Amino acid sequence: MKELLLGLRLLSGSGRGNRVRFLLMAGGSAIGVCCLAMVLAIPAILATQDGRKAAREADCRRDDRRVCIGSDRAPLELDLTDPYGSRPMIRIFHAPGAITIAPPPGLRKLPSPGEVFVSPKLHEELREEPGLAQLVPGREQGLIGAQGLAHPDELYAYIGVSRDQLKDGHAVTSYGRSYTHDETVEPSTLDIVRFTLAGVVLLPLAVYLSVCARLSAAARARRLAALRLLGLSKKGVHRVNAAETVAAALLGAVFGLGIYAVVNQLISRVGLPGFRWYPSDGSLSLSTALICLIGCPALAWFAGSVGARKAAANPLAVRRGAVEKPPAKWGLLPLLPGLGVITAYCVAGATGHEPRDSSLSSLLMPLAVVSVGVGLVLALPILSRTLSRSVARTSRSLPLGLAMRRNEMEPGGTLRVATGLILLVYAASLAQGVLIELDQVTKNSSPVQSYVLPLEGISEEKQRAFEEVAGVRGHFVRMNSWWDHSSDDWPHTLSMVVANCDQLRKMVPTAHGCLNGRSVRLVSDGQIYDEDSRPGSVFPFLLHGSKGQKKFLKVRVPGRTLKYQDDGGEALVDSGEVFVPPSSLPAGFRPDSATLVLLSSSAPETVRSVLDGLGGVDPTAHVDTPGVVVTALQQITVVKTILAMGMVLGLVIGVAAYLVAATDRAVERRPQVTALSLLGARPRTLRAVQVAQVVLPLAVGLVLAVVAGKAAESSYLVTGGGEVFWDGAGVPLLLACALGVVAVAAVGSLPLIGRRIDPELIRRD
Amino acid sequence: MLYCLAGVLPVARGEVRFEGRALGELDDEALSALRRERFGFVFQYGELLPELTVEENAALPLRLAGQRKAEALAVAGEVLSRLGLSGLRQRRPSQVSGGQSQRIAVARALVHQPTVVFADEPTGSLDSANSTTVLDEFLSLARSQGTAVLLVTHDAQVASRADSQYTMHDGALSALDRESK
Repeated sequence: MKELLLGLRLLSGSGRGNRVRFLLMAGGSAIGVCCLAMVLAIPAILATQDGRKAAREADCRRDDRRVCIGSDRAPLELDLTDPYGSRPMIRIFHAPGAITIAPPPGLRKLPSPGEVFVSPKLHEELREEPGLAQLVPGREQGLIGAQGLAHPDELYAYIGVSRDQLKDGHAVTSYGRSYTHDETVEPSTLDIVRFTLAGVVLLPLAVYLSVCARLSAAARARRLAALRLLGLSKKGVHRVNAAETVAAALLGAVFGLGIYAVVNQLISRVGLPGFRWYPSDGSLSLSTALICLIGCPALAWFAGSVGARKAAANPLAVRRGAVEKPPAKWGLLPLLPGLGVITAYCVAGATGHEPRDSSLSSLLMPLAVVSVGVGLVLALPILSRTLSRSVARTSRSLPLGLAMRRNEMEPGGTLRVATGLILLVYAASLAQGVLIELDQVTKNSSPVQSYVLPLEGISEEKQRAFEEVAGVRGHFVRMNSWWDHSSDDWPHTLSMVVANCDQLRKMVPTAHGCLNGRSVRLVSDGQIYDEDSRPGSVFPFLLHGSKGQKKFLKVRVPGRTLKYQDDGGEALVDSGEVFVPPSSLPAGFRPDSATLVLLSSSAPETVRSVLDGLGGVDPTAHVDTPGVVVTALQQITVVKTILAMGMVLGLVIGVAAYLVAATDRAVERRPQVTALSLLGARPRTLRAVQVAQVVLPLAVGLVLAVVAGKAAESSYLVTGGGEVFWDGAGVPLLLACALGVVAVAAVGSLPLIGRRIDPELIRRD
Repeated sequence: MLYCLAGVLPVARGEVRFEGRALGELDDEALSALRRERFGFVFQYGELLPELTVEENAALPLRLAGQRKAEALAVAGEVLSRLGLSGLRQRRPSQVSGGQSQRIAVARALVHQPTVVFADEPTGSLDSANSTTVLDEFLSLARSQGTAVLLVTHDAQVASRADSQYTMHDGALSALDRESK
């Protein structure tokens, strides 16, 4: 305890410079802890949002046979999720039943037919876009409260309808489940996001906090060595050192949590693109506070004890400024196997042998990525020392020689200055990979967008109204042959496209030789042919008349073929389907199992307008939009925002680590720089030394980070199961970022050389 | 006062002239050139750059003056030999003793044959034996080159070796003694 008090006494009474250093350590830790709290808060925010989603999900009490109890008397509900731009709009159609149930959270009562409750954001959108009202028919009765919404920007509506308008509805007896079916971010994606955030933010953060804990390490080590020589025990030296580092880190952690609380209030009100939350969602949890308050001082103690250990073990060497031991070669150990695994996956991807077994890859890949990240950190001093030594020997330039000799002598300094930025660039390329993987899931690369509506229960008039919605430029009906569902045999089925030649030409770019009124088989070389569609085979198609009478239409697969070619995007027509003219269907009958396929341009505004139009015809119609997974689009928006936030935090940490470390290094070097100035060194020579000292190891590290990062990204894509393995488009951005980092580092190191020479600086402590 | 004379610190009153030029009227670049080419410095603790080898430290003024690396190292090697340090050329300052370190600092101060060497307690950190050796070598090398040495010391024995002595007491140059040796 005495030693701890001595540490604090030394801290408070050891001059202005040391007190400023203590405050810098605390301030640096505060920024780091604030970033840490933000990263830790993200999963908590998502979990809170998912909790509210689960609480509003409709449920039905079921008996032992899993049948809903009282379904005939319970209210009915139908929930539809449609894309509104890139955001999902959720509409809950509610039809009252004979029994009354408690409303879901956020509503004071359930809507009666003709009544509507909307979220505040949807309320705004309805005011700005009156066309949207077609999808939300009814009188607005009020707004949904925050307890019933996942986030403030959610587009959500409860629409009251009558029971006969809601034939597809399911019975509801209560609201609230233990989990939601519609997570804001899927658990598997969230794991990837967490992993990437750990790389982008937590690794540089650990380095940064260590840098903050080791400010003025050499001067402090000399002071500790003096205390050791005066008779303080080894343990005592550690305690004295811990008093300062832990006190600074603890103070920084408290400040950092305070800053986070303020930042949360501000950002949650302003919002991030595609990702908003209520201020209470991001409030500090006990676990986050404990991690920050214990983790930060613990890390500071660990980082600070390295210098103290040296002072305790060999105080004379520290006092005399003995040469540092060169970094051990085992630092290369994590890098080599990590690079080996990553390279192996890249080679497998390049040669078309991408792994099919994902369980091994899901273990190997993260291990390799972490191993390379840690390896980059540990290998940097070794590489910097080797490179510096050879450049210093061969270079004829004085500034370069001086800078390289310095780096050769103190390779750990390079680690402190450059690691944060290097890890950031490495993690940025991995983040690019995650976004590419997610993009592949959600992006509609086709120039056209199709809309698929089941024709069951849709009248001929309504079908025509769907076909005539503004923006729709083509349509056809796809019928499926009837098969006996009670049979154990594997059914042979046929799909039939009912359209004329004009309509077909709008669906596929090339369809030569189409004659109206003639049935043909559609064949494309680029697609797999449906083996059931053999010429001469007969398939029954079930039709029903206006009075409910049923009739089978027997269709023989024609021998004639029509070759078509699609555009390589979303396939609207399949090879082997039979193309028949509308006149083939008997008058007064409609197909029993069929879908109406509509086509429009894939421009986002057209898609939105068509969906609005379809909603105007029938707000409760199920519309599938192949190629556009609206919930995935929402997910990718959230994930992109979280990753962007991670990158910004990583950048803040990386730059802060660089500035703190570079400044600290410059301050520690002041006696030598002063001596050089007294010997007549020009300021530009000293600046060139300063820049070369930082830029060269940084540039080497960044090149390594870009190469390793791109390789890691590619191996992630190879193991991800997607089709894109190589991200050439991301390289210029990454290189530009790396060059920007080097430029900022170079410019940032210039002011560290002052113009005034103070001979007092070369006096010993 | 030593640093005022070397043009590092400005003088509050009076004027410092060197070769007919008032140092106060020179700009930073001209003062740097003066220190680089005409002046040499020996500090109390040597202030060798720990990352450079002994010969690189000794060659530093020549390199700062723009001389090529190989030539500068050759000249530095010669001066180090004259001081009996040729065996230490590839070592780092942390690998030599205090006395050796100070002799290397002397080599650095004289390697470019300056007109004046400013020495701030050059033997202040050494024991008496080392102090005598370093001072002997320093002054004899300076004399052989025709370099003036302006030395500040608290040690009367060291002061006694000077051609001219000035005594400063409580911040004032209170006495002036001239001896000829």
